[in-house]
Amino acid sequence: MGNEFMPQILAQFNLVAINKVLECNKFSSGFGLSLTEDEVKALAEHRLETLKATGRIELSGWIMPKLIFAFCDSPFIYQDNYEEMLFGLQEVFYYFKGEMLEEISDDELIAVMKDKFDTECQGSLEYLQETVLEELARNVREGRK
Amino acid sequence: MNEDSLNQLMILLDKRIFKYTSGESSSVMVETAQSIMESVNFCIDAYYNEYGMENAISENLSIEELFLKGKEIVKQRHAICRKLFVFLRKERMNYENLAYQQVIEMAIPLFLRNYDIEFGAHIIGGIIDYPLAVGISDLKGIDFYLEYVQKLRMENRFCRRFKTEEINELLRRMGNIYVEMLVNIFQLVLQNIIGRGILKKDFLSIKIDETGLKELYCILNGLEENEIRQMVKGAVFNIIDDMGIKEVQLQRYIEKVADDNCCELKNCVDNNALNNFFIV
Repeated sequence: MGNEFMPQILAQFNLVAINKVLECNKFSSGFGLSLTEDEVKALAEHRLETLKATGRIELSGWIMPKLIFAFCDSPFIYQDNYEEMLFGLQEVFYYFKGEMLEEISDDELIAVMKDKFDTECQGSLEYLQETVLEELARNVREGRK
Repeated sequence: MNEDSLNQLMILLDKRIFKYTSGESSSVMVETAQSIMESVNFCIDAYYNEYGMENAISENLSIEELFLKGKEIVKQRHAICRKLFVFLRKERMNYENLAYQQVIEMAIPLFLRNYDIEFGAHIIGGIIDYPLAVGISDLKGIDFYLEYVQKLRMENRFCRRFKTEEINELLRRMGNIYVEMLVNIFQLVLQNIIGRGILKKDFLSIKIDETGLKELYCILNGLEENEIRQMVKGAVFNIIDDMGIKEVQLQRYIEKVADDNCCELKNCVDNNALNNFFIV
């Protein structure tokens, strides 16, 4: 079931999702953060690549609005690195959903990511991915969530 | 399926994934989505099999309506299968064979208890070790089990005509591991009965002795496969007639199993290994 399976409806899903992310600008601009339409489209493209790479499928719902709402008040995210951070966060999110064997909900994973990103990781995506989330994934897999 | 139907199917899949994750996850593994989709298709096929595609078109049913109506049919089949299984359990034979006992004691009840109509209607799951004389290759989910239970009950109805102790004795003669062997007991019984039929003996017992085996070899040796087939057909006719088997479905089943085994019988004759076919 590849993403090329049904272009028409997937294109519709994608369009709706892009609009929802653009609407997030209303909220994130309060923190000095916003995305252009091209940036959102690039993120949407990256989403499909990441889903494919992680063996996942996501139809009408896109996790991006939840990531934006959670991270837009982070002291480590500012307009200049906003798009780049969202690229990284999206990739980390999908990767660890699978690594945690679907045992953890979207909201729980985002909450952990945000908490650790702002504290222990001091805004480092690499540290978040390679240390904090790896350990959490190991714990989840071993039933020590 | 046209593009509109495919679009509807994808929208339905989206809803099913949401329900599957209880809205807690926007994405799922591709394998999970595929399985959910197969479950949806299984339900839709159940509707088509029951009422036909023409009916769906004339009623102008959407894909979601087809799925929901199909799911109700699958639920009904599950309920029927549960009822039939109660009979099967009551009719269980005391065979000294683990696979037979376990399929009734564990595998089928486990499936019926855990059957996931919502998201895994197409899954067979479980471990069905005990083989039927006529295997089921094209059915999934509850349809597989419904067919399995019906066929096993039919096999039991035939075997019940003979003493269980004689059947167990037959199994014991297959060697020390007879308890663990994955063999179809109906087929073993039928083969010996066919042997007795060829020998013009009665069908009150399933036993064939060494003399009978030698006699069978003398009769069958040198015959072409189609000649053996005709001989087996004649024996089967006598079995059905003499034993007063009125059930047409069972008659057809016996005929099929007998016919399917003619090639093996011919091989056993050619290799002078008739004791691999008829158990003495």
